[in-house]
Amino acid sequence: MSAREESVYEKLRTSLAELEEKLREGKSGEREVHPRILAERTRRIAREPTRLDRAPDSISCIVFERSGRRYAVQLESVDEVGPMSRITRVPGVPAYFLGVAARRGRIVAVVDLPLLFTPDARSETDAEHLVMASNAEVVCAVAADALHNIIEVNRRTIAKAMPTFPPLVQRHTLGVLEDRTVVLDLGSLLSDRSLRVEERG
Amino acid sequence: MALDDAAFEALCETLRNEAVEQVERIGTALLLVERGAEGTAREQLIDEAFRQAHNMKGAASSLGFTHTARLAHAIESVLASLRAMDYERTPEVFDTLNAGLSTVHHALRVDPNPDPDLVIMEAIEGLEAVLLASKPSPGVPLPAPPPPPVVRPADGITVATRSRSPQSILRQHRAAAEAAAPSRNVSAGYNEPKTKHSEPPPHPLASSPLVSSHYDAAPIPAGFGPPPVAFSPPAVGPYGPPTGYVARAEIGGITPPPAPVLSPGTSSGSAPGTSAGSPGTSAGAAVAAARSMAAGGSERGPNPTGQLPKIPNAAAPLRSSTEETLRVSMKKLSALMAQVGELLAARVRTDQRLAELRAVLSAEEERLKAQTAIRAMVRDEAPAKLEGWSERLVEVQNEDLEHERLLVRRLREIVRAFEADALQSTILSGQLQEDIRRIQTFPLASVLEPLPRAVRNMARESGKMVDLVITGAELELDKKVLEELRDPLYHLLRNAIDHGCEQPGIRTAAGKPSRGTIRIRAEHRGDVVTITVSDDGPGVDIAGVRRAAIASGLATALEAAEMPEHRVLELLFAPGLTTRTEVGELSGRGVGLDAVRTNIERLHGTVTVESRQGVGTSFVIVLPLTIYVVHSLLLRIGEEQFAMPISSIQRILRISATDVLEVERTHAIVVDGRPIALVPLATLLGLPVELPPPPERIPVLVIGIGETRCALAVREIVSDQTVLAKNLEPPLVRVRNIAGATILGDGRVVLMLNPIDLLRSASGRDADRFRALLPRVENRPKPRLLLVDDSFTTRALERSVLEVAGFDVVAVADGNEALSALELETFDIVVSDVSMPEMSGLELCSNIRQNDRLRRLPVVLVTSLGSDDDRRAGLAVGADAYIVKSEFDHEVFVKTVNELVGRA
Repeated sequence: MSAREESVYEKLRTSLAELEEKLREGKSGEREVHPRILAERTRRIAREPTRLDRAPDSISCIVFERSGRRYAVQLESVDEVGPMSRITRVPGVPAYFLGVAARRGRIVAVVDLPLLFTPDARSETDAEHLVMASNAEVVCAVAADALHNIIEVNRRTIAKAMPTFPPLVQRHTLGVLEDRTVVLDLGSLLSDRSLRVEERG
Repeated sequence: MALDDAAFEALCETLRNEAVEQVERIGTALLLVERGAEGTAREQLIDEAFRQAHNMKGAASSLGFTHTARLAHAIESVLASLRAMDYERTPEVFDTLNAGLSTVHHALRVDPNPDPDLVIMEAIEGLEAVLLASKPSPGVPLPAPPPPPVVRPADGITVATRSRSPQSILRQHRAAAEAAAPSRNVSAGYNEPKTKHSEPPPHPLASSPLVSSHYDAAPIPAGFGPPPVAFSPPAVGPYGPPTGYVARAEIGGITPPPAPVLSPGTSSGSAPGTSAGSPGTSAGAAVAAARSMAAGGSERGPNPTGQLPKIPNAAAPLRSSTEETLRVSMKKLSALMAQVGELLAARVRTDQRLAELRAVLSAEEERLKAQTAIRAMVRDEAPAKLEGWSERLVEVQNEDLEHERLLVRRLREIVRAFEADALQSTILSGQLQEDIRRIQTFPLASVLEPLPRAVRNMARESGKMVDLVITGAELELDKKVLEELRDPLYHLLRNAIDHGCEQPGIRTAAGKPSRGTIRIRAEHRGDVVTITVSDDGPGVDIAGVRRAAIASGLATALEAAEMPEHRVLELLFAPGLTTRTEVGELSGRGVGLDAVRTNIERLHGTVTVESRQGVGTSFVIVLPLTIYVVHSLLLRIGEEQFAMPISSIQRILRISATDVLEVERTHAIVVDGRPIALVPLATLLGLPVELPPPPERIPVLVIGIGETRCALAVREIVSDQTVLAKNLEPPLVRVRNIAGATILGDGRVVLMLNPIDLLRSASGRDADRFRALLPRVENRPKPRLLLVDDSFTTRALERSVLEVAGFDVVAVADGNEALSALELETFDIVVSDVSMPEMSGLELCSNIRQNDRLRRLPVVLVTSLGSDDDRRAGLAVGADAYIVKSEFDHEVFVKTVNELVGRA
């Protein structure tokens, strides 16, 4: 053990001994706090916190749920979130296209993400919300059962996508949060060629 | 001619819209110059403004918009001098120029009325004054102004005199002509001082062979004006060399429509500073004189005749047929349309709220009933000992009840008002959607209408005889698409006249009619529109194209020689390829086939060419539709509705299961004597098949394109509607069988079917699934029945009864015809009247019985002769049944016939 390590352990031991003494005396484990520190702490708490989204690695995401799965998508890729419109089924397209809906005069395809990622996924309920997204090429709506909060996610805290994820998810995910939320890059997902329906004749 | 008038109107409207844009561009350029653009930027801006003014002048004079042309000319002249102008002086110049630009709007409204107009004259005079003042003093050298100022008063007089053809005088505004024509002095005096620029020749004069040849021969002054339309300065320069002018004179003859459209005398030649070399000067001078008088132009000398021309007030009468138009960007319109979509969605939600409100109302009504009952109970049945309490209770309940009543009454009022409002908003939003739809789409006719006139002129110019046949002009397309189509169509037409129509002599020699025919055919097919421009000319000169490809370096000699014909045809669209070498060909006017292809591709369409030697050439443009109006039938399949374009539906039938034949394990029905494949539409779409239950007839749509036809069975035809259809958007780039979608008035999205895809999907479809749904389908062929009756009504009645019963009925009018039919065809039974001309039913029956082949054929006699003797006579000749019309009963009749053919 190096001398440096020894000194760290020594300090720890001292601290523990002090704590033990205090507890024995019936005091709280906290160190005695000087009123000046308290005042300083109060000021610090009262100060408006540094905005998290200013952090360069932070992204704002809206979290929603569909068929028991949680997804987060970057706010920048979302045009609008609204109640589910009446969906018209489109015959002959893959099942993950729930159909088309009218939205601001446009006719928009509605995608069921769990069905897209795992075709055997069952959607028990009718979705109640639409998360509208578009980029230069496509305009799409994603079906959601429930909308959750908007969160700030630090890119560094997102765990990498698991290798067991379906390939499509792997390609278009930023990773997974600890509460199982899959963070998606919706813009790139919607532009994925494999999503396109382009039948000839 | 109505069409020509309409076409002229359309052209005028185009000109006006274009001119407004040009004014805007000039204004913008001037603004930038005024703000201090310097050096090259300044020059470029002035050049741009000059170009716009010049183009405006050209277009205006070609349509006889004399005021606009003159104003444009004055603006052009000032712009030309602007470069040289010193900076201190320019603010006033800009003011005058802007005033002139504003007056263009007025001139556009006044034109093509040739009467002098005070407002325009003032504007022109203002511009002329600027021009005059801008003339540099002799000591100051000019920094090379773009057009060298030319003053040729003498030439002007000469040419002006010569060009005063009877034609021009005839067309000239009479008062002006009278005022000015006799006076050379006035003309010269007017022209002399301010001459700055030469003036383009007026087209109509050039179109006269006499004048035209004269021009060709005449010495052309160096500063002679350019043709108004085709030149774009400064590339060729408005003051181009004489040769350019000669070429232009020829083209000039093509462009302008005939007499009533253009008034040659009013050509822009009248503008100040006209180097009198302009052939339009006589007329110009006339107008100028008139104008000078109108303006009280004392400085220009007295009116020689003393006759005052009509002076219009500033607000010259507008052309009654002109509708005010407003240019609106498509983006704004699309936004508006999107808003309407939202409005519809909101209305659907309103319906929902209304339903909720109704539910509250009915709940309250129920409660009110219950309350009333309780009150009665408490009042009548409360025990005596609680008397005091009971009274209190009744009181409280009375108050409650009153309150409830009020509430219910109020709720009822609200619901009623709400219902009325909802209905109103339905109507309004429907109208709004329809109106915006109309704004966004226009009939193809708006592009095609001017074409017949153009073709006539082009053909006349090239000495050919050509008819233009247009079909499908009523097709409505997105405005943007129409605008982009205009140039390619014009070019293809020019191409067709130039390359696709032989001279009458050659055509006659080839055994063709001397008049060539060019056809423009527009069709709506599913999610595309095809526009075919075809001619009946010699076909593409394949060898010539090969040679041209080699000459222009597109292919080596070997490649060209080995290239298959379709690839050679493709080369026509290559940039830079032309099979013609002469200058001035009709089809050599700027855009080539490569530009046609570029334009069409910009619309995400394709253009292909087909050619047959000696038969003709067709250019086929296929455009995908982003938005289109289509009259459709709404169909119900299961829960969903679909729209089918009516244009693709050939027939709508209602069939019963017995009409269905089985052919090669597929189903068919006979339409117009020919079997057509029958498929449930739901099967093609991969949806669960649901058809009306057996006693009901099945709605069937016969769709077809050309010879390919198919009958589609549906659950229900809901209605027919004109809808605004849109393409689906990526990621749904193209979905089989679906052409697009439309949003109905209630906010629902209904998919538009693609008939071409459906026809393809229908081929090779197995019929098993369908068979299960048609329990009464007979697998054996229907029994054939020969119906003989001389009464049309009886035949029709019996035929309908028998057909419903599943017989294939052939009806004839008497016994002789029946015997002929029996000889030619095989029947399972004969049903015949007795009393008929020529051969009675009895004779027919007897004949049948005597014929070895027909002896066993069952015969039913149906007759009004009901006596026992008649019956006996009937049975005696061998009839199997004898039915008296007075006792006629459908069921008995059918049963009898069925029994006799063994179908009981």
